[in-house]
Amino acid sequence: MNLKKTIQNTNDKIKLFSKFIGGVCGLIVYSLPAYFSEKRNRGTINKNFLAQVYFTGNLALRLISIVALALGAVTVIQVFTQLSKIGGQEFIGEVLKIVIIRELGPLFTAFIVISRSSTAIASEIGNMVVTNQVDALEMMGIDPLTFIIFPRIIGVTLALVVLTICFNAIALIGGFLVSLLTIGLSFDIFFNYIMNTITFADIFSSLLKSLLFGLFISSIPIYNGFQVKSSTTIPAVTTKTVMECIIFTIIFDIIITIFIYV
Amino acid sequence: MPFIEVKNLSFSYGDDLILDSINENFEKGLCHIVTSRAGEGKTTLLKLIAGLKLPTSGQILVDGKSISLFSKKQMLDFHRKTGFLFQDAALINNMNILDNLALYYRYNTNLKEVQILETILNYLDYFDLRYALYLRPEQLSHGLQMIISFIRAILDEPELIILDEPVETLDQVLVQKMIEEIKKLKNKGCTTIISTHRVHLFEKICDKVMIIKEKKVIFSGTIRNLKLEKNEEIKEMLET
Repeated sequence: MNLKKTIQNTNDKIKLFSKFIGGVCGLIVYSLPAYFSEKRNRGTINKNFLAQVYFTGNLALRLISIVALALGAVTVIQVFTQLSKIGGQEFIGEVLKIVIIRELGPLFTAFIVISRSSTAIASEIGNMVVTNQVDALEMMGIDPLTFIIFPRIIGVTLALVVLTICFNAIALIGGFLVSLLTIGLSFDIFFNYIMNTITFADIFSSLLKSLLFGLFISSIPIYNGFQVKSSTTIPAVTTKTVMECIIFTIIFDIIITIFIYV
Repeated sequence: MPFIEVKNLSFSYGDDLILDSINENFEKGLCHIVTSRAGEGKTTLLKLIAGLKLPTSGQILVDGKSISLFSKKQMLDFHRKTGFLFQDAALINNMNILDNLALYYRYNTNLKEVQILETILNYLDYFDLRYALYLRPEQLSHGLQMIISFIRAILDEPELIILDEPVETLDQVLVQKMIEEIKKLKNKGCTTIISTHRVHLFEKICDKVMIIKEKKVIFSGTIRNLKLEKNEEIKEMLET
């Protein structure tokens, strides 16, 4: 009896997980053609897209800048104190590149966007569903796929890619400032350290990560938002969204790192 | 052939049966009232007719074609010709009243902004709501939100309007103005389906009444027949 129940539970969980993955991927796959087939109303949709870019990108820039500056600075302090013991200061560029551009830049930016935008999207869409706003749009002949889903997926993804580039640049500036203040490293030398070590693969991996993170941390909250049945479940759905976004981000990070560097 | 034909319609949420074997015809150009006690499935029935939910069993035929078999494009077209007033108004939260009302036009027509604004202002003036043009929905009372939502539903003179408890939170003046508008649309051939507890308010414009009790239709006929009805269950329900 117990075994039967366990098998049934596992079966249900697999079905639920497949539905979730299918739903999330479906949102990404179907929203793009839906936008391009909607020729007449692109102006309205583009307005929503720009609003999403503004909310996710512009309004997060200050927080991203502070975190990036701090990360660049502490990385240089930690690395420099260790490397100076073995006389390897010239590896500072290599370490900064690995830590910031390859790994923590895209990851930290994604976490910040998850905490601001993914939560906002999940609760906004959940609220729209329970107050019939999505039904109201449908009744006006407006396809939610183009009006709600597409602008959020593309807006968050584009903003995340740009924010990641900003994060990387600001973190390197933070690293340079600390190097300048502690060991008097000039900008030319610091710049050379970095430029001599950065490869196309580093930039490609950073951008690929932010692109994939963006697609998933925007479509997961949309999917979860549409599953909301009553207003009391919105906080739970928002929390679930954060957990799932973090897990997916880390999984993709590992996969891309293995794919490019191993 | 009726405009909308409901055939053996049943609907359940999981194991919870909401509507059981409903049969009803909604004729073109007539005003139909759907009434029941609270929580008996009126809203669900209206959403099923509008194609916002799919029946668990049975069929809804619009001009003879099953709504469940509509393609995405056919459904969007049907929705464009249908105005729906939701019980909770369902105005888009992050838009002001002008944008809420203009959205339909901007999305579905090639009208210029000036023409859109003029049409919207005509309606707002009629309901003395011009001041609300740039307000957000949450800055209006529920009753006024319902009026804005009603305007949104009738803006483009649809073929079908579905009103879910439209007058429950309105004062007498607004109710009369709303009924006048419904009358005008009815005269142009628009089919109206209204769910309400206050049947008497629509007596003058209503052609057919349908009463749902315990998931089933217990009365369907004209308001005159309803008044002559001897069934104690129905009489008691109308009195309460």
